[in-house]
Amino acid sequence: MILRLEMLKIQRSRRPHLAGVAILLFLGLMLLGFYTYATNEQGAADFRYTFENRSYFNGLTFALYAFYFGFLLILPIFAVTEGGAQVAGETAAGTLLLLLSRPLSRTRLFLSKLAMASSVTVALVVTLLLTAMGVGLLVVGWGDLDLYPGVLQMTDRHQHLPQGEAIGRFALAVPFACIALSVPLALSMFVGTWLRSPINTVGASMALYLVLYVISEIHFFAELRPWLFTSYMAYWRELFQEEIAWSSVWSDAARLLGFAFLFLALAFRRFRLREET
Amino acid sequence: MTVRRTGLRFELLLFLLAAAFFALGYARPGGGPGPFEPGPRAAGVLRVLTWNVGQSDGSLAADDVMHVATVIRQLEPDLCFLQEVANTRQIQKLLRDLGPEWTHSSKRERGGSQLAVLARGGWLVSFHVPAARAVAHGVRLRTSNGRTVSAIGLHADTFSSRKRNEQIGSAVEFLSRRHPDTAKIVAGDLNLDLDLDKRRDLFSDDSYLDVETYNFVADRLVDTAQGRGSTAEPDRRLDYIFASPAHFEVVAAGPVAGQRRGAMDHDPVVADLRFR
Repeated sequence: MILRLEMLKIQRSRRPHLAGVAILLFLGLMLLGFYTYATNEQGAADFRYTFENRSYFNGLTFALYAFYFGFLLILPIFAVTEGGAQVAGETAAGTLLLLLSRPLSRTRLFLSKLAMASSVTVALVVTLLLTAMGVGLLVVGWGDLDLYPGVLQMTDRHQHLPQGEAIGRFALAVPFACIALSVPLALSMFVGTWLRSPINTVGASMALYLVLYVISEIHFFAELRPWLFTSYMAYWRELFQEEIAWSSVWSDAARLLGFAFLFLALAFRRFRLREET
Repeated sequence: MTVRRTGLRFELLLFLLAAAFFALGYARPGGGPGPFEPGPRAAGVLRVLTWNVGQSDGSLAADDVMHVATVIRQLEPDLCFLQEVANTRQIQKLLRDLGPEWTHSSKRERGGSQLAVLARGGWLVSFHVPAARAVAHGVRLRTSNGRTVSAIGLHADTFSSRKRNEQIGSAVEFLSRRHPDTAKIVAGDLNLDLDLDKRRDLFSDDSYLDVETYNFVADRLVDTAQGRGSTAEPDRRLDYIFASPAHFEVVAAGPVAGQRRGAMDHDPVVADLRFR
């Protein structure tokens, strides 16, 4: 019953629709960028000594580029929005008090909100990936996936994945990417238990995410990197190596899950103990 | 009361899960190799060293020449590529300190300092690298056990990725064309500041252009110290030793930390190569 109610609320909020439109807009711009780059490269012959060839850019390369940037910069916004809307949104609307006046435990309510927010996040990851691959197939055409050192910082040596294997790796990336996105989601749920406005919650959570992300990217803070969850957000890149280093994938996933459960525990503690007025 | 207890249990479960996953994730030391330490040089191995010995604001300081010689003696290379040696007097001083078994070839690089190649045993003959004359120094080495190596020492442009592409690309292409069958080495300060693999850099606005150059070279020669970490301040990998994979097997390679003195900003990079 409560799950059905939460689902209805999400449908009526139109947040998933907005996210879908944003993903389409992002992919459209990525496609435009791809074509502009390709045209400039072929027309101007910028580099005399180049490793690139005509078969390098294909639909799978496009999908990987789009998923990489979309995952790191677009999807966290919507994960954070979903997490922030759950508790803070209900608090601001005054419906949380109404819900809690019913014979419904806070644990169950929290779990149902978490389940719905997580489902939306998973759906967004799948939508982004499938749409990127679909656009890649229809507009550019698939092929083998070649990755070169320096490109997206994905590998330190040339990697070649035949088309079938590459598609399998994309499928494999989905659950691991969802684990990574669960952290900003849990963070915003935690922030949402402290702030009463969903806009402030999303703003504060997104600001925290971006600050930590930038810090983890700058050389000066190399010592801090292991302790920031943003350092592991793109850990699923490892899945696109010819030989996957599974121990590294599992340890990064475990760290991310540790952060996600920590934020959820803190969020639930606050949610459980706070007085609703 | 029961509801409150259920909530507490759920909260504890979440904290326990967090602790368990942190323990699992952090039990294993983080990725990345430990510091490289060259072992004793094995028999039949050609040890190559490259080192930009200049300071962050100029070429090799006169006071540091003996230090460079000491490090070279300790690391026991057979072939040394040095960049930013201030003048030929410093090279002579280095050779005096290293001993009579060392020979050398050097040329003036852009900016006035010297590109030097030192070899222990055997003999060296230098050759011009036409399109990259100002930044490259070619040598043909005949080792004491009769092997021949064609090598280019490079100090590529610091500021322009386009110039680096021309300089490094033309040097590698020239070496491949002019010496198709001999063992080949390209070493030096290539100034290619790439984040090859899971490293980050928000400083560089043209690293994607260097990607072109790096992959052009890596397509032809093996990057011996790949994955061994940075070679220069701040946390940048600028110094490389590339070798022809058909002629060499890489035994070990990497930057040797802790050898800088004064305002030096590069580590020496060492590669142990075994002839196939």
